Amino acid sequence: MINKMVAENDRLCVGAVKKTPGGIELKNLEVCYGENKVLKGISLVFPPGKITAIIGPSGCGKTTLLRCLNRLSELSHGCKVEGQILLDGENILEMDPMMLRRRVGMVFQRANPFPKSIRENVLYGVKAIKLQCDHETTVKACLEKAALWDELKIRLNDSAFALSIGQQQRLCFARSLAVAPEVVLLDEPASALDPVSTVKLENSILAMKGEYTQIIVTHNMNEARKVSDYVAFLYAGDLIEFGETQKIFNNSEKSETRDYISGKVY
Amino acid sequence: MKRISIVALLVSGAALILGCLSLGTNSLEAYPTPVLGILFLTFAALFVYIRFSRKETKLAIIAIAMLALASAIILKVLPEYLHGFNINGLIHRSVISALLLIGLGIPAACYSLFYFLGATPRARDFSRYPLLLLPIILIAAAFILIIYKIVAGGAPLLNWSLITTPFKDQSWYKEVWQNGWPNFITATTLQIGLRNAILGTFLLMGLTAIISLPVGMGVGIFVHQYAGPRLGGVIRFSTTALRAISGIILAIIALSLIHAVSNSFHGTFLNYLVQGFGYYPNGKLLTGRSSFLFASLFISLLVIPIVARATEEGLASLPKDIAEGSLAVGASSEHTLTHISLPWSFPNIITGLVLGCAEAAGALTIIFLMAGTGELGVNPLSETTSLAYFIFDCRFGTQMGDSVQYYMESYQYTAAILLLIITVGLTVLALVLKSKISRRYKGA
Repeated sequence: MINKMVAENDRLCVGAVKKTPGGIELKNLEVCYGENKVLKGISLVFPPGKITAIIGPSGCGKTTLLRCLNRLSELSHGCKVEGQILLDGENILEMDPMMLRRRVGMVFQRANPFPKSIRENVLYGVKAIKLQCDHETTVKACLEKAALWDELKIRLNDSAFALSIGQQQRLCFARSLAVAPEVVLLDEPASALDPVSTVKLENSILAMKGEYTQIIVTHNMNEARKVSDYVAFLYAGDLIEFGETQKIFNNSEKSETRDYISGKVY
Repeated sequence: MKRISIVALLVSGAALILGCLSLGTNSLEAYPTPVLGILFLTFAALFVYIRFSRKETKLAIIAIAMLALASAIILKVLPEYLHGFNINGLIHRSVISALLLIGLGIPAACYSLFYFLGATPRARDFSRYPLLLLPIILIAAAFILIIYKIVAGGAPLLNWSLITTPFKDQSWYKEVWQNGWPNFITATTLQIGLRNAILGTFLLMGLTAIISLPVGMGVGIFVHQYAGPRLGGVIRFSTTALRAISGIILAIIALSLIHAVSNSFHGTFLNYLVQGFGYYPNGKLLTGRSSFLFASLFISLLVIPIVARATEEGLASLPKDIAEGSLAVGASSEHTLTHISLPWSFPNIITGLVLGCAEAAGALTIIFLMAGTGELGVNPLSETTSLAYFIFDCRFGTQMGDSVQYYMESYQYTAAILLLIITVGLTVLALVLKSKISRRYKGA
């Protein structure tokens, strides 16, 4: 018991400290909203430490899939999840959602900083789950990981709302890293950003490769090509193809994937 | 053109202002006719000027001039009261003149503004301002009239000792000798003072706030966070319905409760708790009509819905993303509520509470049958009193003789000034707090 707690503490000991990235495995995942089946039995392995991009047209279930992985989908009314989602072999549907979300962080489509100072934003998760750690080190480590430290170190006490949208989004990225997750989910993180902010965010994501398992939903083919190691192509709730990025983009097996990537309209 | 149109603008503005002012008073009877006459002359001149300088025949301008002339004549021949109607006492000539002045003043102001601004298409847009400004002017005029009436009536009697002395009204039988026989007459010591009424107002507000803040916030949080759509709808409807119950109905319920308690539990602590009590200077224990605690309990019934709705709206205004962001880092929903959602809705809650308190300060319908003049002291268990009740008592209090009543009547506006200061002060406080806290918690 004590060993387990110590191990837990080690793992959680924040931002800067190394811990193992977690692998996620989906086994025949089905999601329904009422009568409407959004995901129709998806089996897939997100390799630990790698970046996997999920691509597909709007409404194909990308975001739903992502929100299942930290069980935020439960907040939506009438959402029913069947099948298995295994995080390091544990079925997350049987875990305490709060414990799960500590291990699986998330960055949202729209930047959603809390109405607090920059420092408090980064430390929010740490304080919420009463993590024992040095606050200053955590703030510095997390902001450095999001390439924000140099810009923000002199104004840590300013309101997060005073930042530009690009900075806000990277702050949200830093915030999700502060509780030392194993997996980071990114839901179209760059869709509202200008090209410069996009590149900065992408570089941060790339720099974190190996440290976290990252799963990114994106509409931007260039982003998927640049950032990801693996690509999963979803269409109308079905997994059409999954494979290494090079292979998917250069010689995909399925004609649907080729058409979607090359921009042919369905 | 500029010169003549500025004169037209001034005249029509004067007509509008005079119209607004004479709606409430009949002391401006001398002015409408000359103003309308000048309006006729100016617009006739404007018409002629436009005819020659711009070669345009503006029928609207000459129509306004003619209507002004006609109105001036009508007002000149109109009797002061419209005899022959049953309501002749109500319809004074000033009402007619006000309607004519406003009715003519608006188009006159619009047209003269249009020509003053150079008769361009852009000027056409601007020339509609008088129409938009009129409601504001009307409200401001009404407000100024009210304030003027209150201040003029109350300010002369307002002084420091009035605010700091308590009210005292003691009557006793005095023995006097008349024609060699003893006779008893009633002697009265009346000391007009507003101290207890002012303190009572604040006490009533404070108790109401203490009761209604937790309950209202609890209801708001429950409806937003935990209740399903159906249960939430039911609760929301019942709080709204509670708000719709008029104060007088709550008052009779409160009154019958007081009677029931004083009949069944006479002399017990419960009786004192409900009725309130105090000691006279001679040490005698006296029960009042209703205690502060009991009265504020009933006023809270009107304030709780305000706070509940404000809380709920504040919580609902939090973007869903932010709440989800909090959950996504592993925070519990309770932590999210106390650290994100509630701070976010603080401005709403505080505004609702302060406005509710202002309502408690002015609430008379609930307490006018259960309050007293505050001679038993001011604490949660003494007899309710407030400035609102004092004003009512000045005007309609029946316990005292006519001469006393007449004497007290002159203090009604003084108490009204103080009540106005408190309620307006609270409203300003609500606005300031709202902007301050918004900046603090919303970073806006």
